[in-house]
Amino acid sequence: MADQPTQERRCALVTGGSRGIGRAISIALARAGFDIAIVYAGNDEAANETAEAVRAQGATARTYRCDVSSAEEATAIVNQVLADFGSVWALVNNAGITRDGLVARMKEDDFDRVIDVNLKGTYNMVRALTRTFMRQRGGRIINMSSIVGVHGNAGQVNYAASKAGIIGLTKSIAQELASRNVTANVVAPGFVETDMTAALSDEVRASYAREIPLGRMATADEIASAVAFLASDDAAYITGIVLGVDGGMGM
Amino acid sequence: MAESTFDRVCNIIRENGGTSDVELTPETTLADAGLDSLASVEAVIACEDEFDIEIDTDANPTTVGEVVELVESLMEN
Repeated sequence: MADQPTQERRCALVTGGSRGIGRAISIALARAGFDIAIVYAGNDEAANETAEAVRAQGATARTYRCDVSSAEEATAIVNQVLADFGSVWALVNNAGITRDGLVARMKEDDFDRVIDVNLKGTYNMVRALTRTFMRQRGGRIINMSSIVGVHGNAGQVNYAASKAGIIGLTKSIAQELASRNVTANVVAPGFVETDMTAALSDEVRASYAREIPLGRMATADEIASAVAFLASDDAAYITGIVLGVDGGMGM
Repeated sequence: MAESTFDRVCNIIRENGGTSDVELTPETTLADAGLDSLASVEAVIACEDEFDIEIDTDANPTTVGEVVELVESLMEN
């Protein structure tokens, strides 16, 4: 019967899911057969647009407004998602902010806020879902880092520290949860075409492109494809890796 | 006759610790029962499922007796 699902659909929870790379991830996972819980910080309109795009793939989508840097909010949202979807199979920690500045001028609050959202937010979500993953003896944790978390970047002491922290966090989780068949991996994009990079001048974009062996920035969809692969059953034997999706910049 | 809470907890600990030949008493530590820290968390989760209760994430019982007390206190509520 057409209205009977052939298999139970799995839920993927995507933080920072309303815009940019997070939107592309939500849509790619929907295409791969996941229902999507879109967690977003504040842009209701963007979250609803992403939800519509997810539904266009035939998936169920719900939106959840949440500041992931708050352990209380993160736990409450995870419980709500579990109540709505029954379970979560894949957690994608993509929520992230930047507050760039040279270290000599960086305000303490700019450092703290970036660490709180990017790194502690990842911890908060993982912690809130760990028991679920352990209980179901399976699951996928995919944390978004960045090439600057590996190489560093002048003007991004806070952001690079948060993204490097995510790598250590993920490898530790991978070790803790391996016996329960839960994998944890990092995706580390290089330059990606987003609202942020679209605002750059052609000159700056050209200078970036010269540093990329493949000669161009990634599309958000190209990052999302890597996430969808790691969330799939095909990636069952991959855990604790940092998958660079950077056009060769990691070489 | 239904198994006591103590016996049910002991079964869970044996399943998660893999040491079926250790005699368990309320004073036996989870470590002596063969549970490392991760296996202890897994045993606590298994208790939640077995008794249909929710154990505080911060609860960190170290002996068999403490697990039984924890379970019994939550079942009374």
